[in-house]
Amino acid sequence: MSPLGWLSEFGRRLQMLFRHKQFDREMDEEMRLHLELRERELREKERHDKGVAAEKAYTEARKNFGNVLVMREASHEAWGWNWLEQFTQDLRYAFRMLRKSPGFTAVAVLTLALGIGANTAIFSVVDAVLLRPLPYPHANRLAIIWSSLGNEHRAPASGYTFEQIRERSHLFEQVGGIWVTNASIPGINEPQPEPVKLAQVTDGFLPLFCVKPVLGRFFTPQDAATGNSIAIIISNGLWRRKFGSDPNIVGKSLHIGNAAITILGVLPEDFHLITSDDASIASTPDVYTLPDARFTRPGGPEFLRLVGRIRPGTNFAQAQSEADGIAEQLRTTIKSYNEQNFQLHIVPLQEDDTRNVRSTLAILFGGAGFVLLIACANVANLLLARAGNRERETIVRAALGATRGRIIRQLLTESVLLGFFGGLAAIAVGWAALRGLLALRPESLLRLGVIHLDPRAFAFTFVVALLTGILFGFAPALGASRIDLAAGLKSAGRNLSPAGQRSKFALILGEVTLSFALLTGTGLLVRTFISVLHVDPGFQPANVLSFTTLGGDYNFLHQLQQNLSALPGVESVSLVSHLPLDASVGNWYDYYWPEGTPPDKQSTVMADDRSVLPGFFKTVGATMIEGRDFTDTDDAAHQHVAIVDDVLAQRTWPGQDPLGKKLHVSDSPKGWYQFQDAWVVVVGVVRHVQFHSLTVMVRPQVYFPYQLAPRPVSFVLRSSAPLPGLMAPIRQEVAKLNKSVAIARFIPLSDLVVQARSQARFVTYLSGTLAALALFLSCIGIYGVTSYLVMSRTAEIGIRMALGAFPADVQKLVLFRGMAPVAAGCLIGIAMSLPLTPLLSALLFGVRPIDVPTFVAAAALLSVVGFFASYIPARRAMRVDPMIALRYE
Amino acid sequence: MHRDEIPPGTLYLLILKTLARRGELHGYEIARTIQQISDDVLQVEEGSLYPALQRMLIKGWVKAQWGATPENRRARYYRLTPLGRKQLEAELSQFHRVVGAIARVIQTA
Repeated sequence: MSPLGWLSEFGRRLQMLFRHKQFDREMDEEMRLHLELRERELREKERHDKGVAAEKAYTEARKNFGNVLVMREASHEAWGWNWLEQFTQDLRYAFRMLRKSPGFTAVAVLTLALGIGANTAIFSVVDAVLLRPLPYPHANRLAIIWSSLGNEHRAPASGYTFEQIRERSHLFEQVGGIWVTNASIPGINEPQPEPVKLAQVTDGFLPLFCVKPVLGRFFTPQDAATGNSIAIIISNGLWRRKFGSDPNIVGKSLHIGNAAITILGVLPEDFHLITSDDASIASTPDVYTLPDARFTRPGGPEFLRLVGRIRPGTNFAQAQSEADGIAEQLRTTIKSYNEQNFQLHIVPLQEDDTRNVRSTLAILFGGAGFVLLIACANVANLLLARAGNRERETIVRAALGATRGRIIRQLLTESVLLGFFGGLAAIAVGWAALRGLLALRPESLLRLGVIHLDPRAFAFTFVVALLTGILFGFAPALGASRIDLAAGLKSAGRNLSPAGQRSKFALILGEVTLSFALLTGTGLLVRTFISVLHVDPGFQPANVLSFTTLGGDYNFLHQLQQNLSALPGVESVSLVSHLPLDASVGNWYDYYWPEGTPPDKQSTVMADDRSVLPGFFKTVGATMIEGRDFTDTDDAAHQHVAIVDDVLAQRTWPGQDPLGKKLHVSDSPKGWYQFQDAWVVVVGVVRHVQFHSLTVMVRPQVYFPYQLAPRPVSFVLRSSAPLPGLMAPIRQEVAKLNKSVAIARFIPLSDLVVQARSQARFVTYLSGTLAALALFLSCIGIYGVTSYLVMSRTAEIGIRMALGAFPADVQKLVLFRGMAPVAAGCLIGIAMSLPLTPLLSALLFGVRPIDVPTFVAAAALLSVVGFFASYIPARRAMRVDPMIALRYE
Repeated sequence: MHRDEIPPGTLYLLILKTLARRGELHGYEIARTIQQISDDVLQVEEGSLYPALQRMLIKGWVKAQWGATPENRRARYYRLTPLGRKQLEAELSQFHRVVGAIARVIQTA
């Protein structure tokens, strides 16, 4: 039949469904009319012939017609809604059954709510972070373009590289670059500057992420800064905060010295940039401007993060092979590209954004899945126990003619209904769980999407609820429907069949196995977190306050250092261009090499470079290994010097004393963005400081005196006085020296350490919660099964006691029955965890995936829990009075 | 008088043909027409007409509309749809094929 025909047929069937009362009425009327007309005809005919009683015509008409009820049934069946009628019947019956045993229903629904709710919460996170597309136009065609320079494969691009890609690529319809720094801007009529995140973007960048500005327009290439006129686009937040949502802001100018800054446009309120955390791009820069045109010459600094959108109908693999061609052309034509073995890597933006959280979320989702399976096993156990009690009911139904399929369908309806209620309650559990989860502030996830319960999470919850309903209901329904009618009717047994016993044993075994896997995983993560808590970051964060200044030259900074040192309680003051463990500012790093390095070896050792004032190492508590700290005379007029960390020293001069050695630097030393080749002499070696992560050594560091490498900086103060009390005096000192300098942020270094731990803490808490849930549910499961065992074997126990068994023997018997699946589950759990725990490797620190103490602890914990869960029923069994037990039978 | 049960599967054909010939009819009229035209030989179990009509409604071969009988009683009148007409042709040709085949078998026997 044509699809259209099928559709209209379905439409007619639907009509029948919604108006079936009317259909019935009409059919009755139609048939009644038929019978009456036939009866009259018969009567007339008979009268014509002989004249016969009315009753005969009546019966004759009905005889000819057939059974009215059967015809009605047949018509009903024709419309094809029989299954629905049966289903509503089953549903009503299931409702009644659940209401009749509220205790069972409550336990089952709660168990399911915990199991499904955990999944709802984690699904919401997975959906927001991994599944939903990024909130940008044609987000599925956006890619980030990383450069490979020597050993660094996620490097930014130079302005020249950007121009080359934009010119040579045909598959990218648009490419843009961005770089974010700290800056400050004045108001229209106020001198007090405000600290802002300043993004330098190429003219193609903003249209990649935003359809159009709410006011004004985006950049065009003609807007590039010329002399003293600078065009900017501002964020919605800055527009509201600083310009009072002025609708006529476009075209207005701000003045800094001689420079005129003109506002071109205002971005939408929900505009934010989602990029990988190592791209160092703030999510909501306040001000956007075009980069200095000088940066496009070859050999310029690599600072631009590139994002491109491929043309419709092309794919990332094609774009990659085109990029490979461009990279090769650049390597053959430009010497420095060849020396650094320049490559381009096209990575879909969302994939790149989520690369650090994908495995974590997958593992947590898997853990939540385990909890759900355990919950299912528990409910299946409950149903099995109930099936024993309901055996007589099923037998009667079967005796009255219910087919096996019909009985299974009815029992499944009941379990699916149970699953549905579990799903309803799971929404509440999921909501609470999600709130708890977000209270942990998992920054690495919050950056990536808005996490909340939405219709997709609801849909997920109910699909899961439905599937679990079938999953936990199927085996018990199959078992219950397998009936020996003759034997069953004679005595609906109270005792569980051996098959039932076996499946209960198997379910507990499964629960224990899954719990064991969750416990070992959590144990490893807890040990990781403990290691992270105790890791030595290379500095001592306690009692150190930092704040970021915007503006001011060396003289100002030097004077401020002196003035702040005089504040009461302050022990030492210095500054640095990049705070340890601060991911909010862009990182500076480059290749460094010693004298006599051939060009092809120059791009091998990379280091972060840091500008500091004298006293930095003392202030943050880093350890000077040898040599000296910088002094105020380490400036351009004297010998150019640097301090390296032990890692760089080891890599550059293995086995030699680095002091007095010469190191090549290709940036600094004559002011911001004055990139020149020069040699510096190493005057000191300091122990490595963990600047990027507590657990991973990303790059070694080299330190320069601020006077050689001026940069945006943050001050650090070590103080014996409480840190919050320092903020007001610091503001006063800054204002006293220079009113146009803004302070962007006060933050204690210990807060940065806490932030750096947030990922490990989040994962540990979450997996801990999941493992606790698993343990709790398993405990209930073991308790339930052992109790049921004691209850259903009361008579047997009574006989044993009557025959002279000691209560202790009985207790031992029950304990053994309870503990057997626990012991077996632990053994299988060990076998299962051996291949599973290595999946956690990426999340572990300071502990190996196969950690004997963790495995032993998990087994011990499960055994203790199992023991107590079976001990209580065992005690009850011990107190069985043989007389009562036998009489009960 | 002896009455023959209609062969299985031909009820649709009979209803379709009847409606094609007589236009709008209600259920009782259909049953009567089939009997009269066949000189009371073909006997429908009258009630089975109604499930059959329902199935034909679902298939879209007939349309039903409530109207009044000459004696002013409410009755549901059935009418052929274009789809029903097509179905009639299909059933007819199939019927002729089968009957022809059976006839040939009988003649050669």
